[in-house]
Amino acid sequence: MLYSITWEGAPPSLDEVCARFGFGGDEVDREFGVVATDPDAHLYAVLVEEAAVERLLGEAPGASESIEGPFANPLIEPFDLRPGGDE
Amino acid sequence: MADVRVILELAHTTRLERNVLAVAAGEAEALDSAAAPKLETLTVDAEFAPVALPVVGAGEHPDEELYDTLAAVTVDEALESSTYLIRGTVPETDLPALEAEAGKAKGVVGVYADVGIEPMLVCPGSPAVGTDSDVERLLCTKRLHGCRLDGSGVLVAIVDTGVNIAYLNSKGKTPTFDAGRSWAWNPAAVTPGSAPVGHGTMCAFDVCIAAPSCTILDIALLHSVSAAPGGTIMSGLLSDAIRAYSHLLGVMRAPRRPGECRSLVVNNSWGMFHPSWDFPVGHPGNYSDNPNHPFNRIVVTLARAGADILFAAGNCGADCPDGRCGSPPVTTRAIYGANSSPAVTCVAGVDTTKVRAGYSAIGPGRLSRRKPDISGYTHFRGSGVYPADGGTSAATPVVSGVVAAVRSGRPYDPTDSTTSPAAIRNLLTSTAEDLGPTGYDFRHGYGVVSGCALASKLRCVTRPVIDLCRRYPWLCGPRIDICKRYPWLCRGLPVPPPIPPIPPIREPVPPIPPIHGEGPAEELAELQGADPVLGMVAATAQADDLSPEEVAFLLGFAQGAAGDAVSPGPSSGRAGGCGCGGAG
Repeated sequence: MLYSITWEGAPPSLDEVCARFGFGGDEVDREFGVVATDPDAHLYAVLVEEAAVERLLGEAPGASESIEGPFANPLIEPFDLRPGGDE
Repeated sequence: MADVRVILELAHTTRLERNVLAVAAGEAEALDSAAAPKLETLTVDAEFAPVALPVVGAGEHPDEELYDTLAAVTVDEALESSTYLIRGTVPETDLPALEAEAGKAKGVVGVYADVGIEPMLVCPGSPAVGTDSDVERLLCTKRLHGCRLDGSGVLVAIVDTGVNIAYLNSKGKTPTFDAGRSWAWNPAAVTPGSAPVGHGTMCAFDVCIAAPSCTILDIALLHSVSAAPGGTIMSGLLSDAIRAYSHLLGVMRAPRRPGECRSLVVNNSWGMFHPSWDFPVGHPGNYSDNPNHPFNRIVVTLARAGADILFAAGNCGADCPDGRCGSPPVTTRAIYGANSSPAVTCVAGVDTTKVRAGYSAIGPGRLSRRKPDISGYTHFRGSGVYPADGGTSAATPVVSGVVAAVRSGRPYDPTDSTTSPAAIRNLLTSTAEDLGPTGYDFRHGYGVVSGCALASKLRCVTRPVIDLCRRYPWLCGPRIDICKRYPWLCRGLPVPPPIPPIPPIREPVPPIPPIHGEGPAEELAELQGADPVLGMVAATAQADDLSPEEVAFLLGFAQGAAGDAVSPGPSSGRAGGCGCGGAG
């Protein structure tokens, strides 16, 4: 699932994110990594299993200030043309 | 009680005939009220001038099975034998009474329905309307390119299914391709620039209509995800787009070489088709209506870094929505998420007759109400990838190309607010040709993009290039070759920085009196003292038949003083001023 994290200071590596939030290496999408979405606001996106985040929030409710989501990760498609059902 | 519009056919009267002749002569514009029959139930439209209808009679019917149907009728166009049409309205309930009244009235031949008619809208599956040559003409690309507003020095990222550069070249489009700054969702699966010919290649072709000299970045984002529910041949996930935008942010923020400019146009002919693909509106993780969604945030971040981002409005227009808009289709507020971001230019589609495409999504947008911003041309025969370059998919790169062309003359400069993406968007919308209701509307935005108005606004003056060597071959001999010494005089090359004139050692030769009076010719003659070759040009120009305009033009070249105007010749203006964007 897509989450947004707040991280002050230098941009984090995925390993740093995993260490701070207690995510297992197999619970994050390593190919996606950590993507700066709004560096001025210290915001980064990560793909993490929902269960890992629920576990984190259960153990450390205060972490909710640093991690937000899940966000929708909908399908996107080219705007080519395909006739409607009525046609 | 609704009114019904009707057409009345009237028999010939002298008054009606005079009325028609007066309108034809420009002496009248409306119906002579005395010429209309007095019918109680009919409200005559007095503004509608009567129309003479020639008598059409049956001709001889040949015996052959196949015959020309038009040859089988006779037409009598004489006014005295014509009937005349006027129009009016009648309350729906009074229609039988009108028919009865008309049947008894003298001079009424018939009553007909006056049905509403509308322009035929292009829909998915409609044949192409016009060609890319028509789009070139409509955008005044010759004029833009003549002023070097052609995309040179500008990066255009095609965020799509991948681009096939060899195919583009085979279609006569030869933009620069920057493989180093391109990106693919999976480099093992797709090589940027060598993608299968498809949607992304169509977009690149359409960008090159207005910006043939741009530098293409292939951002191959959409790919085959056949396992995804509802997924089609080419699609992707929004998280892939987040990665792609992160790459573009890196491109935008990378250090530049001296003189390199940082204009980046980002074309997005894709989006989400249906709200069911998203979290519900109101859910904190929703995409369509939530500016806090990570993708919506990174789009704003990239725009803040100076990129011009264009998104298609989508193909869920009410008249003939795409099949993916659902059943029943969702056609209201169908511009979702980043496609409706205030940081982007949202593009609707019109055909080459400037009629809105029936599938073009209608505003308002979700994140920002005033969407779409502008319309672009679509549904024309162009790239050859499809029978028609269609959808708001094609409209968007047409507009992206215009933006890239403008950026050739007005590159992004973080220290100059007049070059910000918002300023360029404002330039685009303020020069758009208004369509539909006056001013902004949710179908067309501010109107259709106008390269012609942009050229005027940017003071793009196309001046003739004088080939001095062809006209004065003795100036281009082996001893003194003016074209070698001053190549910009002959080929319109960029002028070198002005060199301060060297004071003459000897007394200057008195200038030859100008033939065309005082003004530019006299000024040019003054150059004789400073430069003997230019003196020869001046003397030749004056002794020959150069017009004052030509002399002024020559003077402009010689002095390298193009001022603010964007011109095809040597220029100290912004056009071509940056060397960015090359493949190397």
